Amino acid sequence: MPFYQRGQVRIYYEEGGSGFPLLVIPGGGLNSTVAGLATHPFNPFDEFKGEFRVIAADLRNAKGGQSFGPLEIDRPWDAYTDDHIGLMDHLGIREFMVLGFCIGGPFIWNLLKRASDRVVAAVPAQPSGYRPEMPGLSYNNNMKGWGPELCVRRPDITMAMVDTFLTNMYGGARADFVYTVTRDFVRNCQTPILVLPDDVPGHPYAVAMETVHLAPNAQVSLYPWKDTPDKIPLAVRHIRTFLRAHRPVAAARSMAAAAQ
Amino acid sequence: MPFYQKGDIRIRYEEVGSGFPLLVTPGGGLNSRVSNWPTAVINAMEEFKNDFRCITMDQRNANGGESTGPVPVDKAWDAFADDQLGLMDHLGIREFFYMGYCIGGCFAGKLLQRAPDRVVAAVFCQTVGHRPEDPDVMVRHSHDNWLADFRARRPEVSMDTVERYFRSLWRVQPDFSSACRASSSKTAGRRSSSCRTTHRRIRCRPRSTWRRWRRTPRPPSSRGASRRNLRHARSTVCARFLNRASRCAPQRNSGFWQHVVRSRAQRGIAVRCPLDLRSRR
Repeated sequence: MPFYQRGQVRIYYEEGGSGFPLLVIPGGGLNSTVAGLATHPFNPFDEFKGEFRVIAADLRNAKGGQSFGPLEIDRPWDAYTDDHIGLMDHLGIREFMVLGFCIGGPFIWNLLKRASDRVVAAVPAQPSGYRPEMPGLSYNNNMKGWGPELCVRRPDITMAMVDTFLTNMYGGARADFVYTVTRDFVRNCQTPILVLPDDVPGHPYAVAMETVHLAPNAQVSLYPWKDTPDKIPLAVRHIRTFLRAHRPVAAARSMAAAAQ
Repeated sequence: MPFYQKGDIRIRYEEVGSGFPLLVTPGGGLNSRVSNWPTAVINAMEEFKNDFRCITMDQRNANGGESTGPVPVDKAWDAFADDQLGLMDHLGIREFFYMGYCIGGCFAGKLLQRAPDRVVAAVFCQTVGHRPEDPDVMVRHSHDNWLADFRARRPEVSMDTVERYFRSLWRVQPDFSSACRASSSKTAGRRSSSCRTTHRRIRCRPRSTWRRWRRTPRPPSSRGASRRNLRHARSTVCARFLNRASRCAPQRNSGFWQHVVRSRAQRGIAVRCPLDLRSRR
């Protein structure tokens, strides 16, 4: 079982397939785990391991996961992004593509802010975002569904710390848009983006579409794309063609040579 | 104003830009013509001229256009395809992209059937298709929007010829995108599924489907079926989003959505997908 370790942080990850690296960020909010991919609309390992090196990790301190680390109260989003970038460094990967479900949307934008020269293309699927009519949704969900269990597992962490952590993650100035970056950042982001919108409370359609409108190289797939099983393969096909189109030429050539 | 002529067929066309050829067909049913571009949801000649050699044409016998020819009473879709492929030959173009609005979706299906080795990629945009709950909608549309002006211009064409023309267009293959039908002994006698069969056989090229939710003939059945049956098809944004989004959050109608969805911005997103064709050249 592979782990990436850096100081007090220990991240469990899995890999499958070969080819250009594709970092997959599972959904599930702060309980995002590799195992959770089994309940997603599609499993990126199954779908893309045939032509990409697919990598996914348990989110630090996710319930049911095997990744652990300090609760970095002052920099919640960046702490997780440290883990994503650190894992890529650990694997010797410089450039990669990223596909993120749910909370993977905000993580993708933070990755693009922190490492825009390394993320070749990105796919936010059913991305999370701020919903003005339900302003406390993400905070409340995690205060109930993540914090208490974490405190039981980690006596060094208190609910007061969880409260501050989640407030810094979802409250104040962050309570807007995709939580992690500004509209100006998205407006100037040149990275190719493919968005698969959703519209459940935690995944606001308006925010997903706003990113598509703002990002100059963004595309959007069909919507709804997972209300019936027959549509999911169409969305997966769109993702696959998008990833292929933006895979660096050298990687595509080596894949073609290997296939011959 | 350039023309391509072959026998008694005379096709007016226009070109703009340079690069890999992109044949684009404006909407307008049987009145699909170059002058429709300024009112199209996206003026493809303008949007893509900096990336592609854009070519468009007045369809044969479109009112308001300058292309003329016989009214085919049999294999009418093939006659349009003959004009389109003939124009490509005339211009010395072997491989090209195709993008068709409205009736152009039917043209796309026929072109893919007739010349799969030449159509490198295709975009179906707000495509016409068979609507089972209103099977004569396109016959009515042709009667209402094309017939009178055409008969005024071409009184020598009999109503019998016109009716046979409409039958060939809309009733011989009353299913799916209307333009494809059984072309081999394997599919003969399975007319209702032959077009789907044709689409399923198309596997070598990427395609896109654009959707636009309207009452007039862009039926859900043909949209969904096109996407499902084409093995390399993908789909882009649909205006139906507005309705779905409105149900979830009515306040969006008044602000952001009024601005975004109904503005040119949504068109801008759709434009980006065909620009993805650049990677296919």
